[in-house]
Amino acid sequence: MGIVFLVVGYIAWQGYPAVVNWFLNGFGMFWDGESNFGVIPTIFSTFYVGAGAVVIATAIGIPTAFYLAEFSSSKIRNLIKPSLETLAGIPSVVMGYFGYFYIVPIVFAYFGGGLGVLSAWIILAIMSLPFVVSISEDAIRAVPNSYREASQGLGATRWQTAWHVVLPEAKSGILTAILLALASVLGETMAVWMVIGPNFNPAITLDPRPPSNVLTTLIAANVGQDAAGVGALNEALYGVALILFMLIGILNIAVTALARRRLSK
Amino acid sequence: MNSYLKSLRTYLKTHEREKIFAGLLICICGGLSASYGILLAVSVVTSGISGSSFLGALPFTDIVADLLLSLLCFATAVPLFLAGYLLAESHYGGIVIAGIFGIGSFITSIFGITIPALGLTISVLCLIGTLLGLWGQRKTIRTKTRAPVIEENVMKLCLRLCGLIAVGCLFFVIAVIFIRGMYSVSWDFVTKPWPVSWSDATAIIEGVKSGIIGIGPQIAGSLLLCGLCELISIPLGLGSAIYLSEYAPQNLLTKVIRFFIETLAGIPSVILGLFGFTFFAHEFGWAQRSLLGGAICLAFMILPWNIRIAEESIKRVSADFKAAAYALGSTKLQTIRHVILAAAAPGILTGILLGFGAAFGEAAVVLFAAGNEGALWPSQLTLTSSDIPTLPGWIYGAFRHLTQSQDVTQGGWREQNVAFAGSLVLIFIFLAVTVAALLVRNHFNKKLAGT
Repeated sequence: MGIVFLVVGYIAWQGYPAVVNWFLNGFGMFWDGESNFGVIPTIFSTFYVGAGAVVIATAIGIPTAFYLAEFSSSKIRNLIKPSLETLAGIPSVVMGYFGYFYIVPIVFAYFGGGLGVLSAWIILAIMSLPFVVSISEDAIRAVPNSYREASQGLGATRWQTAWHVVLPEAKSGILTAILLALASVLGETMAVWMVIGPNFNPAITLDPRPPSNVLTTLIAANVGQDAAGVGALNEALYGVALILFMLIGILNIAVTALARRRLSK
Repeated sequence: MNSYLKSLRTYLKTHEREKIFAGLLICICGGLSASYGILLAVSVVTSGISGSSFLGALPFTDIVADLLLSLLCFATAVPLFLAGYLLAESHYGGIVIAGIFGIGSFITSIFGITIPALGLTISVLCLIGTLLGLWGQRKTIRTKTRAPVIEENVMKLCLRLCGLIAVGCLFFVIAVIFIRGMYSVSWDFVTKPWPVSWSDATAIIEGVKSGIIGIGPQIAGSLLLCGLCELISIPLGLGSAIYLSEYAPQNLLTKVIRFFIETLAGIPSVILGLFGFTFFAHEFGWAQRSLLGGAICLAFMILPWNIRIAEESIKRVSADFKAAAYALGSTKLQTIRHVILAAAAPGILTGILLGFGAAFGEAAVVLFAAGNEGALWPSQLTLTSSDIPTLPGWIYGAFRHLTQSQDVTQGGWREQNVAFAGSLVLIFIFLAVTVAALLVRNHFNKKLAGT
């Protein structure tokens, strides 16, 4: 257990001066890696990238989960679900490499831009799809069969049953899936790094085309710039790590609370 | 011929005219899209030049991107034909798909999409078809109500489409990596050393072709790193799992411990990389990237999974086994060693293998804490001072060199293929480990169920 304390403690110990400094003097709008360590644009862009990717993954993943759980034959389900779960583990560096050569050109051709938030959305959505499908499928299948039988006994079609009976029951499970996907997307590094730019000072805009930056890529692109490992940059990086860690911690706590509420129900 | 005419006439009689017309319009859109795809593919394949010179106004300079676009045209043609048919059959799905395509192609042609003329034509035709379909549908609803069944079928279709997209995306990724990587993979490629730099393109291509260079050290380095990481995490994980499930009382301390394990699971890998990069160098004076430091950080990463899976499989051991062991007079330690661990072994082994797979594919930790550009064989490495070669690090290095100061659509095709081959090897090892884990689990589950 000491290990966990060691890691978390070290990050907190190294990162807290920067965070305190941010809270006292404002988070700043400009990052040059030497004396200005403004992270507001990056934090904004982190949320924007995370939210967009999760929306895409949800829009495709949850209907897929419904199809697998409610409409498909068990043969199809037994084929698709394990393969999706296995594919979930495609290393992110490979996904990033693929994304650079296949998603970025397509985005570039159709929307302009190329390296940027839009490419990151797509690659992150593909990466978190298996997550969303697998967890929400479990949640949908956990709805007792008697509910479905009762609904269909009243003359409802399968779709009406799925929409009016199963979905409200499985709602909290699906929400858990979405939050977990968000946590994994926020923590994703390599694939985003390879397709998003990075640009340390992204404009605060809703246009998803220009190169941007998220907290993880900010860390990744700056590790090793500070050779001595003791300077201001290092401190700022640990500050960024601490913020990211807290964000994901909050998400995980929310997930745990949701699960507990569902169990007690 | 006559019978065809007859069936056509009955079809026209049983279906409303505006719907058939709408369906025809949408099918024409599909035809346009498909024929554009064919033209593009033919022009690229026969002349070997990109479609930009053939049809004009294309920002592509890459033949592959052109082929992809023609594939995309075919892919859009299929749902368009489907929508046309559905419209004629008075399904809502047809209207929805046609509407989406109408709006979508309008937006994309405004966005400065490639072929404004084609895009605008398709969007106008689609929107007219949608409106006609809607009008026809209103008439239908007034006359007869078949809504629930139609709704059922349409929604089922939409759900199935989503499923196809989801599975299709992932299989597309795998297919691309496999197709582009497989030419370079050979026995030499996975065993020979890598003495060249990525900036020397001809050396790489020739070397791989004649089997002189390969990624042997990288594979060996990755395996060694993950093996060391398992050596660190297995005792820790197993010990914690046994303690948590067998010894620990249900009190505040256990809860805190569990909470911290969850927290550790939530640390993004790049933070562990940052930690490994500075902590060991700063506090112990090791190199910034080292074998032991990387292995320790990777062990932190997979530890929570190991603990969780091991704990679960220990808990699943039936209480009868334990009771029988105690009844035979064994002590608690003996019970744990000879009964519980034996019965929980397959689950624990599955967890270890899954952890190994996760560690093997992890790049962010490895890149910062273990090494990226080294080229030494494992026998030449030292524990705390050398930058060790790893497969994810190699792929990332390839990526950086191949994309440096180059336009998005350019870059050497064959060098890219070599890096795809590395990715293929990485995925292959990862999948092999994962499948082995699943097989172990299934095998023992069956055995347990059988006895």
